[in-house]
Amino acid sequence: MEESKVWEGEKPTVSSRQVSRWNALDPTSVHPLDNETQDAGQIIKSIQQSFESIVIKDSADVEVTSTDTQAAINLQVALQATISLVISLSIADSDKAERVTQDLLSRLTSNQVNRQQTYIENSRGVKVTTTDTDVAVNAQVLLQVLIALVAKINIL
Amino acid sequence: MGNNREFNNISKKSIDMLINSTFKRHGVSLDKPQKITLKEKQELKNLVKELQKGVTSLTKTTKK
Repeated sequence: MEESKVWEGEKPTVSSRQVSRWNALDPTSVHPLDNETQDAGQIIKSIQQSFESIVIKDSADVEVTSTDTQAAINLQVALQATISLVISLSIADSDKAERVTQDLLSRLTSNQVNRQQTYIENSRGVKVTTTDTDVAVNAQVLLQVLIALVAKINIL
Repeated sequence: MGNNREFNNISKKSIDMLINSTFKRHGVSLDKPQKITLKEKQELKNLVKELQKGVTSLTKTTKK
């Protein structure tokens, strides 16, 4: 490598320790955050996907606790479909039944189901906990509406 | 739990009001369906029970 022509005077002192990329699988590797002069290098990527998934790559001591989001979504869909069915049984005009159903359902589930991908790379000692509180609440509300509807039309 | 029952009642009342206002806005009323057979009625009853079980188990799972 050619000697730089820009520097005049003493050359800068370079640390004798070789700066290498943090490796979570190497117990001797020093994390960037341990050194105050360096920037944090850990990145956790979160990508919106149709289904929830957690990808772990080149990492160690990662603990994952997750509820079955897909089952919860299926249940929510079943509840919405049954509400739609009950309303359509009660209202002869199918267009009106559809409008009423859409209006009612849009007011019940204000949060979109959180479907996300969590990507963990080159990390150590990470704990991931995903909760489906939103989905559980939505399911509860839908069930209460369904029960109220069938009680009103007195078919059960 | 006393509070739980109270919240339950409040929840039922608010859902009732929501349903009533939605139907009123569209100028319809909830009528007892004429064309439903006994078999369909029973199937619907079973379906609601299954859904109730599902929601209960989902709530329990989330609490863990």
